[in-house]
Amino acid sequence: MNRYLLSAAVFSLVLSCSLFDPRDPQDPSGTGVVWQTPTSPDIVIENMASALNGKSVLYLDCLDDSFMFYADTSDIDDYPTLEFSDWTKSVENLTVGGIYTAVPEDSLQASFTPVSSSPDPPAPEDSVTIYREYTILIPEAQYEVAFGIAEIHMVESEDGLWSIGSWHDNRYSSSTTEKTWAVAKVVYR
Amino acid sequence: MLVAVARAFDFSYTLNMEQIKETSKLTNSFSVAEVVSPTVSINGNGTFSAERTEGLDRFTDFRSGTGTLSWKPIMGVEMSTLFLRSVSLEDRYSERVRDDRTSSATGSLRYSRGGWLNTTVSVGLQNIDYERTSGDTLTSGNNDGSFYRIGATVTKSLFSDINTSLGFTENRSYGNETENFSDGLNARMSYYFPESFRGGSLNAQITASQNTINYLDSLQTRVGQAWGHSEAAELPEIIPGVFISFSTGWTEDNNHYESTHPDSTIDDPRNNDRYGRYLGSSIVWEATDDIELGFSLDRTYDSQENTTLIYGTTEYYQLNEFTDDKLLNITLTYTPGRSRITFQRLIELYSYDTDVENADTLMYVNDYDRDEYRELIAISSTIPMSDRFTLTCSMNGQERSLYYLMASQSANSKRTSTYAFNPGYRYDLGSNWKLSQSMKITATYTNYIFPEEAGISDRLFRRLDESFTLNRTSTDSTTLGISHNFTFNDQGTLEDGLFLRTEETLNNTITLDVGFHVSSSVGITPTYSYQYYARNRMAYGLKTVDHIHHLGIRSAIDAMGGTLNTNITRSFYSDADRDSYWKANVGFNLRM
Repeated sequence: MNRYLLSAAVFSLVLSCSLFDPRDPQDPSGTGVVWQTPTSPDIVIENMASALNGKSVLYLDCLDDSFMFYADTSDIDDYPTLEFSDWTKSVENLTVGGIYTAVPEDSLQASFTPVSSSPDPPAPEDSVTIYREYTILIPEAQYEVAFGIAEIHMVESEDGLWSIGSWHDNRYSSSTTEKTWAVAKVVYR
Repeated sequence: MLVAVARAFDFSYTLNMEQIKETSKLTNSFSVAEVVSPTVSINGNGTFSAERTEGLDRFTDFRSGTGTLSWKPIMGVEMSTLFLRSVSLEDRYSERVRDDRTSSATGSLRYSRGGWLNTTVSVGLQNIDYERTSGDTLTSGNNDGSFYRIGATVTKSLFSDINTSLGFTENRSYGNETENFSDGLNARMSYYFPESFRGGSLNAQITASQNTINYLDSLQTRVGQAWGHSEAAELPEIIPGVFISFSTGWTEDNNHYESTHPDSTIDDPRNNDRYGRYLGSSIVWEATDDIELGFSLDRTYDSQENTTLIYGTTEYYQLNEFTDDKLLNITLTYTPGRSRITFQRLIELYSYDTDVENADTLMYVNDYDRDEYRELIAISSTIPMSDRFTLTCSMNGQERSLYYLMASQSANSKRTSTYAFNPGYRYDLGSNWKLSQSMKITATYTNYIFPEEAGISDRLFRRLDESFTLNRTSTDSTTLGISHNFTFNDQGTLEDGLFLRTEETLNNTITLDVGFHVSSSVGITPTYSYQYYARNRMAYGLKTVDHIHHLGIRSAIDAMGGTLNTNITRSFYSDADRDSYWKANVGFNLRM
């Protein structure tokens, strides 16, 4: 019986201690951004655009923990002094934080449109690749406009919720002078 | 004679082709080994892989081949020569943008004696050529040079109860563009308590490594250093039925740049440092033969420093990240007979903090600081009602609170409560026929912690999954049977108890497999699936309904000592405006 009492005491002690007490957030200075439960890949894209336009850290909640970003090989070759490798979710946090810092309130505009030659699958299975042409206006950033095609590999959790596993960035064409999202971000790495 | 030749010759070949819509992948590899004599052997292997993505007009391929000649003149000594050649190509928009070619020749001497000492010394020459094309600009170069690699491991038992191992590596590569140096050291020790202590062990390990890349054109050096240690203790069973273990560890990674030129004034402050600490403990109490209580408490603390050079300037700032993950997991397992009932209680607090040094240069701000609090209570059971019939059931409730701490982001703070119920059964009908069915109902409520400031309504997400299978599957995966999968989910806003749906999705698939064996070595499974997929986005007034017919064939064919596996599906839409597509996977594995 003593053993049961001891176990119960340890259990109660652990639960009652402050080790697991979360901190109180500061009172909000702005509003939230529209966020839908990501039950399909296109909703993830809508959430991502909503988060970018609101300069919200919820952008990072669109990314799976295993997220990797891959720049266009031509960008890697054209900017040999910039670091495109090992681009994880942590690096994405750093670079997007840099962009959020540079851009005035309510000025960041991101839009993603489906690529007509590569339509989304109507009934995605447990992982899927979708393509989006993107235009991201980033006033006062190092490069103020990002154009390109994103090849986005989505992953689905056991609960049926989707997130971005990897993003392969692509130029519109090999000779384009427009900057891609990779180049716009990498200068903040 | 023939038998001897056949035994000395080994060949394997693997081929994989995969096509999903506009993306096709091909992987081809072979290896061949021949034992010429008891002391001489020859090995060769090759790989070819390619990927084509039509929409992006991209084609990449990689080819590599190696050949090895090995000679063991005396026991414990092996001398070998290895030749390597690899080619990596990438085409974009019908133009070659990347062309990398590497060749190398390596001579190695390996000495292994008495099972306690292993040493390897290798020297070689390398030839690396590359070409890059971007628009009208062509960049080419080569990084020819030489290299050597040394490695040694000593394994020794001390005082009969302590096992030790000490290893080191030294690799050097001298090219005319870059020099790569890497060194590694690791030491391990383990001790097992004598049998009279009823179990128990101690383990410790330390590691250290350094990697250096000298860029000869820029006179810069990139240095990566890593250190770490880990310890684990499993205590003897001092109290009968109670097993206690602890583990801890510490790691540090430091990556930075240095100037290799003695007169250089270049100062590159970029660095990326990581520190990690881990502490874990576990107590398992076997109260009776069929009741087990387990507690585990783990804490992982990591920090990372990222220094960023502001583009085009010599100014920099540093983002420091700190994460602290605390996890308490309690499980109570009751196993009467062949049944198993598990009760789980889990509490986790994950904290993420940042601070920025030298931020004035850019006014850099990072507001991703947050606390994630998770509580889970779950019960699961597996109860065999008879030799053939088993009931399964699980229920869980989870609350996840996400607190964005900084004022600019805290309006998004929310609490998500999820409730799930998952009953099912399995029935063994005999003669390899299996019947199973399960269902899962999930409801997730999301409440914003600052509802007025957030300006967003609370949300509700519901999901129903059902799965039914009746089939007979052979060892080669030839399948005869029927299956049904059904998923329905909807979501919307929840305000004053009123659920306003914004989206619903229904996915219903019935699959018929009519597998049969042509012979004992050939199994073929024609398969047909009908999929009904309907999605209604009420918030946007968009409704789509798709009827999709998936027609496919799977085969497993044993031939020439190998196995050919194919899985080809063509999917057709009832809507003529949608293009049908292929999904194919062919794998061939051969050994002779």
